[in-house]
Order: sequence, then structure tokens, then C-alpha cells
Amino acid sequence: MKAVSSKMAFTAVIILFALSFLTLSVFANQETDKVFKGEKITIRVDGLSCPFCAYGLEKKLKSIDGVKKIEIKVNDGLAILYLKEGAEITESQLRETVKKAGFTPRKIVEGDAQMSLAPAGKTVTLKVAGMSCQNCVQRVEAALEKVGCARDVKVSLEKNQATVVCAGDEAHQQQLVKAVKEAGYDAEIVKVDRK
Amino acid sequence: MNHILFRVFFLLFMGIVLIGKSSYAQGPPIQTDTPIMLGLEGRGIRTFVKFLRKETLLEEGREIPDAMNRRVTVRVTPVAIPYNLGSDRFQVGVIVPFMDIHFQSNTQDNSSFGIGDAKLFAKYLLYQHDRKLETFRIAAKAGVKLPSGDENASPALGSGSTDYFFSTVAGWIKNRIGIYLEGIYNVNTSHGGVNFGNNFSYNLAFGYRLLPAVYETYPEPQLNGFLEINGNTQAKSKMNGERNENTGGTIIFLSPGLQYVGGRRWLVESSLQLPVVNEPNGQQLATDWTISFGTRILLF
Repeated sequence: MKAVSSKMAFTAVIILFALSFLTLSVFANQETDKVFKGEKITIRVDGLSCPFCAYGLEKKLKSIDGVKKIEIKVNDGLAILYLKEGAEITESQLRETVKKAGFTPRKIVEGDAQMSLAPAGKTVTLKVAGMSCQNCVQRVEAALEKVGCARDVKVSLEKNQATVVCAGDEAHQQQLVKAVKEAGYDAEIVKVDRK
Repeated sequence: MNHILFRVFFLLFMGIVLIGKSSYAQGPPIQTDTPIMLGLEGRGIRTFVKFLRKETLLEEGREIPDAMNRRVTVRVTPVAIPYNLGSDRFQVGVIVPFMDIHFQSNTQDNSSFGIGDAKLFAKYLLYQHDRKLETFRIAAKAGVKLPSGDENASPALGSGSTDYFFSTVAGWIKNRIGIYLEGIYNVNTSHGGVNFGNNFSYNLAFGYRLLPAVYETYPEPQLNGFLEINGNTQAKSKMNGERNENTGGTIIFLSPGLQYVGGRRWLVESSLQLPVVNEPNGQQLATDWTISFGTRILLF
């Protein structure tokens, strides 16, 4: 009788242990598998170095239920998903899709979070000639902000200069100069610092 | 030969050093395989027309006059269809070449046209290491060449034997550059008393995205430049157990090429191959040049 009850007690402990483990796993999964409900999701995708093979990534992400539009920023290594109203997508779903497309998913964030996911930039200081008023400042700012690599654009009328955090290389930095020149001002790079 | 090879490798090395800056990515090489089995390389069709001319008679690597005035012109149009099974790590495929061979000499003028020896292959991605805007991958490939070409045609369209090949290809892409290295070993079997020598092919490709300087949002048209070294060393063939001294040898091409990726689903490309090392064994007609024009179209 004693032996039977100790067996039963042992079995009960095992069942309880298994149940608590299962429950914990479910809670843990719920905690890690984030659900995205917003309009926009940004995924940093590593290995996105061949534009000709981005097709599969675009196609597979588009096939997820609730995705309205995809934008792949090769230069920043980002895939941006625009969701339909009321759509819900889980983080594990996104990670699995990126892996199936042949790439490595990294950070996934909700909203317009390109800045936090893009590669670290360099602070580029441009000497800008020809600005005479705040309108000119706004025009130069607008021109610089349109350049793909540009973040944190600051233009000073007093110093006749602009500082831009540019997440790119020399070719990108030259685009900043080109953008200012196309806005009707003269510009040259005077300093490049790591951010 | 060493002098020329040194110059080739020096140019490639300097190219990599000088251009290894700036922004991101380019396309698959033209003559060399790629371990990246995505997009056009995973669910597409590839075809090109390759013209090849053999006119120079060499003896132990030196040009000699050919009293027969022989000339071989080959037009080969392979159609390659790779298909990824399940994930993008495993691929199977078929390559069917359409051959048009013309042989001319003082006494003969023969042509043959038809399907050449088809190949079936399987490729598996062994290693993948991705970083921000950078990827390094290694793939292994194995396949079989079937005797689908007419071996009795004159000139012959196939070898008549079932042969096997094994290869490994590695590729690294970062910024605007891509470097690919491939080694292929072909095991040729005997058929009708003839056993073509086994051969080892080696390819090194250096790619650089010429335009656009900055690739912002996919898809964007792009122009890629390639410089490849494509080599092949073949053992002497045997006929009824006797070694044929006028077979096999080494040929290494320097292959500049251009590729235009026009959109999501297609690209066009062209490559010229000029021999920098041309050392066939014994006395043989040597390959003077090849030129290819091709396209790749995404199907699925």
C-alpha cells in the first residue's frame, strides 16, 4: 500500500512538473513572440547584398497575410512592410519568412524606425555658400533630407554650413553635395567624422 | 606563362584593393557559378549563345603553320533551368546545350547541328554567413553529363559517354564588389574505346557594380562589370587503352564581361574570353577566343 501511494505521488509530481514546464513554455513563447499591429514594420535583414536576389524576399514577405506593400532598402539593409488596417503579424512569422527567403533576420521594430536600424553613420560637415535667409536654410535642409543616407540634418545660416549624419560611404557623401548644388547653392565637404 | 599569370593576378588584386570601397552589391558572375541560389539564380531560366573559334595550330604551346588550314567554329546555346526545392538551400537543375559546329579544312567542309550532351545537377548550400550588407556562402554541386548528343555526327555533337562532375563554389559579396571562386572536377568515362581525360576547371571572378553608385531601393536597374579567370586542365585521352599525345592540356582565359540587370525578372550579359595561357598537349588546334551573349529570366 505504501509502495503504491509513493508511486502515485511520484507520478503526480512528474505530471505537475511537466504541466508547469508546458505552462511556462507557453508564457515564454507569448512573451517573446511579439505581435505587430501597426501600419509599418521594419526588419533589418543581413546578407542583403545582392539586389538581383531580393526578389524572393519581396515575394515571400508580400505573401504574408495582412501585408499591403513591401519596400526593400538595399542600401540600408532593411525591409519595410506596410500592413493592411487591422492586420496582425507575429515576430516569429517574420523571422521564419526572411530565413526561408535565404537571408538572416536581425532586429525587427514597429513603425518608422529606420534610423535605429540603419548602419552607423558619419557626421559630414558641408560648407554651403549662397544662403542669405531662413528660406534658403529650409531649401538646403529639404534637399539634404531627400538624400537616402541622410539623418539628423542641421543647417546653420550663421556658419554657412550644414551637418548631416550620413549612413553611407564617399559616394553617398558626394550625393549630399550634389543635392545642395541642385537646390541652387554651392557646397563642399569640409569634414567627415565618425558619429 | 608565369609572367602573364602574374600580371593577371596583379591586375585582379589591384582592382580589388582600389575598388573595395563604396556602396553595395552586384550581380552573379557570367562564366563562374555562384553559391547564391536566390532570385534569378534559384527560380529562373538562363540561356546564352557562345561563339568559339579554333584556328591556330599549336605544337607544345608554339604556333606552327597548318598545311590543312583547319578551322572549327562552334555556336553553343545552353539552356539552364535551376529549381530550388523547398528552401533556398537545395537546388536541382538541367542544362541542355544546342550545338552548331562547323569544321573546315582544305579537304572537308562539315557541319552538324542538334542537341549536345545534357547535364543534370544538384547544388546544396553548405555554409552561409550574413552580415550587414555582406554575405559569404559556400555551395557544393554534383552532376551527371548524359550522352544525349549524337556522337556519330561529323563533327560529333556529344562524347557518347556518361560523365560525372563535382564542384565547390564560394562567393563573397560586400559593398559594390563580389568575389567568386569555383573548382570543378570532371570524371570522364570510357565509351566505344575512347576515354576522354579527366579535367579540372577553375574559375575566379571579380565583379563590380558600375552603376548606380548608390543602390537605394529595390528594384533599380544596375550595370555590373566582371573580370574572370577561367581555366581548364585536362589529362590526355586514351583510345583503346593507348594514350593520345595530341589531347588534353591547359587553357586559361581572361574574361571581361558586362551585365545589365533591368528589373526584378531579367538581366542581359556578355563576356569575351581571351586565352592568356594556351598550352594544349602535342599538336592541337587551340581555342582563339569565345564570345557570349546571354539572358536570365525569372520564372517563378
